[in-house]
Amino acid sequence: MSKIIGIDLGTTNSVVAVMEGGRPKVIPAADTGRNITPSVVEPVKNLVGDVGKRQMILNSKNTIYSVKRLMGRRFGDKEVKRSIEMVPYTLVDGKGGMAEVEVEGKKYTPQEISARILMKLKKDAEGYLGEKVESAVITVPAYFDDAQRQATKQAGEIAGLKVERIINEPTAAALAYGLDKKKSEKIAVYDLGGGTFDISVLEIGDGVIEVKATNGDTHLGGDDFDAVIVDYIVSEFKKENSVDLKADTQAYQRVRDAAEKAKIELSAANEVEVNQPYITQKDGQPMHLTMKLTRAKMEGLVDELIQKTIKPVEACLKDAKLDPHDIDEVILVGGMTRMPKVIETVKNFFGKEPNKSVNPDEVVAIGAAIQGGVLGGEVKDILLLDVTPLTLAIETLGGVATPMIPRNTTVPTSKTEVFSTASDNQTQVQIVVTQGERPMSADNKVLGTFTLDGIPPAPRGVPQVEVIFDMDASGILTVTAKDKATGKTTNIKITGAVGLSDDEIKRMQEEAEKHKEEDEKKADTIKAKNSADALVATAEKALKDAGDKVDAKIKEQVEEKVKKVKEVAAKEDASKDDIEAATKDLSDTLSQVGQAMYGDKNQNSNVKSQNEGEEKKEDSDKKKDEKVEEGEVVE
Amino acid sequence: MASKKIKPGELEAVKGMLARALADYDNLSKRVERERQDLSKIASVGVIIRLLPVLDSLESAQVHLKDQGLAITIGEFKKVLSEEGLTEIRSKVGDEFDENTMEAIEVIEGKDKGKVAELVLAGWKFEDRTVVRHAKVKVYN
Repeated sequence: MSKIIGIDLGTTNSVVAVMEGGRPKVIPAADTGRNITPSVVEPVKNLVGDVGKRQMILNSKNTIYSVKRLMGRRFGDKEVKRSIEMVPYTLVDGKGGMAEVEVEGKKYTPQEISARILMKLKKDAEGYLGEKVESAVITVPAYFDDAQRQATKQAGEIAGLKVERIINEPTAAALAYGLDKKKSEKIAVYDLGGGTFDISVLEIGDGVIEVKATNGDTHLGGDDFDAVIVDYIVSEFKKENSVDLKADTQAYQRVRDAAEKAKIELSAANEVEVNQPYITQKDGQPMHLTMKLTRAKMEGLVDELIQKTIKPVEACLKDAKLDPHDIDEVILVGGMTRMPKVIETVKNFFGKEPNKSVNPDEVVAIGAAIQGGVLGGEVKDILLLDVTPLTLAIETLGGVATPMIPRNTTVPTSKTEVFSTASDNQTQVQIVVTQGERPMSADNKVLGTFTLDGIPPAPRGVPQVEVIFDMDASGILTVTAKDKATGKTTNIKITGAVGLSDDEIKRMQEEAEKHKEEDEKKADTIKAKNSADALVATAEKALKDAGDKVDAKIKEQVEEKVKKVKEVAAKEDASKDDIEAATKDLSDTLSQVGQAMYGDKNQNSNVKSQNEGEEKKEDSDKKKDEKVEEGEVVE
Repeated sequence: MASKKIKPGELEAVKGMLARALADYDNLSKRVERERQDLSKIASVGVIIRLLPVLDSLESAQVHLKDQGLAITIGEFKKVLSEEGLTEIRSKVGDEFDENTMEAIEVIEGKDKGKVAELVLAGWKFEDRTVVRHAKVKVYN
């Protein structure tokens, strides 16, 4: 069965997404690799998306954009009249009094133009998935009437897609946040896109999402914000240099690009430099545009535009007969909602932090893909794969928690690593299994302890103990330790490694965050101590092996430095740097021993790998097949 | 775990889910492999795109300064790009406008309709024709 894709067919840009492995994934455009495709169509040569946009100014009469404003509308509509004034292409009174576009004497319905966009998205999806795509869920604004929805559906059919469902954009956004699972909630969706602003209030009850009210401004969006910033830059430049950049089309375009870039950068930075050297000429002399733009300045410039969104929001709430504090969740949609000032304005209005974790350009398409997944049976009854909420680790030399299964790993999973002994002739190892994010075992929760004995006596680092962490789908962790020499195996089964309460998990994560710095310091010190220990062992062995091949003077030096390392490492409050300094000193001297014995062969090259008595790593992150459940088939 | 009765159809449903998950996984592996091959290229593209405007500025400077040292510097810069597999898209006056490699930024009245009137900014593409930046051109109309 082919997948049902989700399509956000937008006024300025369109996005396509699909469910994959139970998760929504946005499909990049094949030609650009970008996740969004401009809703631009040149129907004669069939140029859709970015390629259409690049030839737009050359071919403005033939290049259709913002066709969504015409969908399902009559030629006499106010919105259509407004479009006629704004767009360079020709609008005509079509069949049944509907608005159509005319390109080179041929009439196209808005459905046909939209179908070209859908066809491209379908093709991109097929290329990405490597299979045919036959059906889709397409989103429309909540205010679309029946004729507009019908037109959208027809566009899908023209594109060769079975339109499984038309859903509202705010509903899709709510789906993307999984809010349909809530018992009953009131949600506000604030959607500030490239060219339009929509606000919707939704009510959720028993998995049904109902649009209570919508409002907005069909001609307010990111483009207006860009224009304000461009005007500011141009006027500042004029003030300073008495040159109008608007008169120089090339310079003007560079300013426009720079303004958009500055706007985006100011979402993260507090100040940007707009630098466009050689922007234009004056009396044969080159002129450069260099300007600092602060976030505060930009926010001042666009404040009026942001405030313009509040009136529709108030009207929408009034229609829904709700107050701002009645709203349980606020969702941000559209690229412009990345601007901190927009987020702050929305937050202040509703008195709560808005949901913004899902990419606002993609959230609608993601919601549509989820709806597609539900309809295709992929999401319903989906096998919920659990994840490990906290890191599962094993205690190694010095009490360090060495992670085996990191947090957020999807189970079932299995991981194997080979460890070794920490001292000579060690015949048993104690395996301590811990859970938590802190680097020291003692600070984490101990899940279980067991001992593997009967290891044949050998120098430290020689025996190979294979430790296997295996967690099945229900969260039962089996830890097995095996001595590779004798094949002797012991294991322990731990239940409840996943089953911590939410509060417990949260507390442990917060603690880890809080102690991060001191913990890391502590762990570093211990690692340094372990390195020091290993080097001391190497040094002592080297001296013994070398016998009288080494100059007595060097021998004495080494012995002295070994003593010093031991002293430093033994100190309770020794810092990592102190230990490392002493270790390095010893290491330098020690290499002379090596040189004496083998010429210039470097002897302590493998000191580092002995850090935690760890010999080698062997990852086998293979997913284990789920155990077959006991059961009987009922006929 | 206690034994439980499987409802009619449940086994089929579970099998279906398993097949779907395995298929998704298989497709993902293939895609990861495909993407890995492109990765080194993709990784450098991001940096290159950000460096191109700097090269543009150097070239604009050279138009005014005509400095020999700067000419060498620009040459070195382009050599690095060429070693990364990039070639310049230098549309010539009179070339047919090609939306696959060029972006029209201005229209000029003229007799050669649809032909390039001026190259404003050179574009860059990989040898396999993937365009990193489209050449910005003025076109006769």
